[in-house]
Amino acid sequence: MTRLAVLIASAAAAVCSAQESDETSKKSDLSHIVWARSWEAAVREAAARNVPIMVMIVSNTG
Amino acid sequence: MVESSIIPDKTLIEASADMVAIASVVGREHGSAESIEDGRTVTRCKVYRNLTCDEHQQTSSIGLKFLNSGSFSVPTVIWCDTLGKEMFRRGGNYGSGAGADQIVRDLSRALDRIPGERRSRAEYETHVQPLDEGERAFTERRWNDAIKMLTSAKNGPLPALTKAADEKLSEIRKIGERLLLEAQAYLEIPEVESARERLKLLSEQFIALECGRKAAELLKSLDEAQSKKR
Repeated sequence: MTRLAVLIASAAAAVCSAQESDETSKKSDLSHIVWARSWEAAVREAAARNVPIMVMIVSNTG
Repeated sequence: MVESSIIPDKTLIEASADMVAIASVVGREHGSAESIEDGRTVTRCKVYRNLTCDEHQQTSSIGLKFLNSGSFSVPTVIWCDTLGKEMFRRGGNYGSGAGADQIVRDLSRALDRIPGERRSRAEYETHVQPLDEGERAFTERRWNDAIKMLTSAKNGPLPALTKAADEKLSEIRKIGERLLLEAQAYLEIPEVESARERLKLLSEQFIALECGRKAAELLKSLDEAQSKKR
């Protein structure tokens, strides 16, 4: 491998490593599922973040 | 049992960064556990770890929005889009560990149906905080605080929250402009004290807006005119 190819490869590895590290730190921040306090709050957050809402019905509804 | 086997699953917890979760659960029998929030030790539900049992009771009837018949499988997981409209659901067919894997697969399916850029919860929380404080200040008629917080929220990164902050600021601007018109009308009559009362409020609480600055100028002129008369 030429010196240039080695440099490119190690730079790419460093980028991958930084991305993995970011991803790991993002994931490790969560120690539990964060539950919304109201339906309105859930919809507002979902719309602002562009993510789906998971409604988990665990027992007979009140 | 979904609460003891699925909810604490590490893979599901990690995947939940890309969704908003809400629980429809009746009962306060989960027990409590201590958590650290903002550096403080707080007591939360052992299962729904960012809520107290009283707090998750408040969302216990969410399921009624989606379940028409009296009988349904437990658990039932309903996936909704960003407007809260159901996309699909899965009921009952959750084993212990496999249940969490299935939910993660369903999350991936739900994400596929919602194209576009995702924003992190951290970004959302940073942006929604001044918006919430601004809306609270608005309700309590603390106009200066409301303008400050909503202006900060208006400059945040999430378009939906920026729009909400801008709409609230427009409402405040209209209130201020109406007060200024009233003050000007009182000056014409003239009913100086009623005018002064409004101008004072505007110059103290709306000074960040054009109407507040105009009011401050009018108040100054009024004071100067009155001191000349004496």
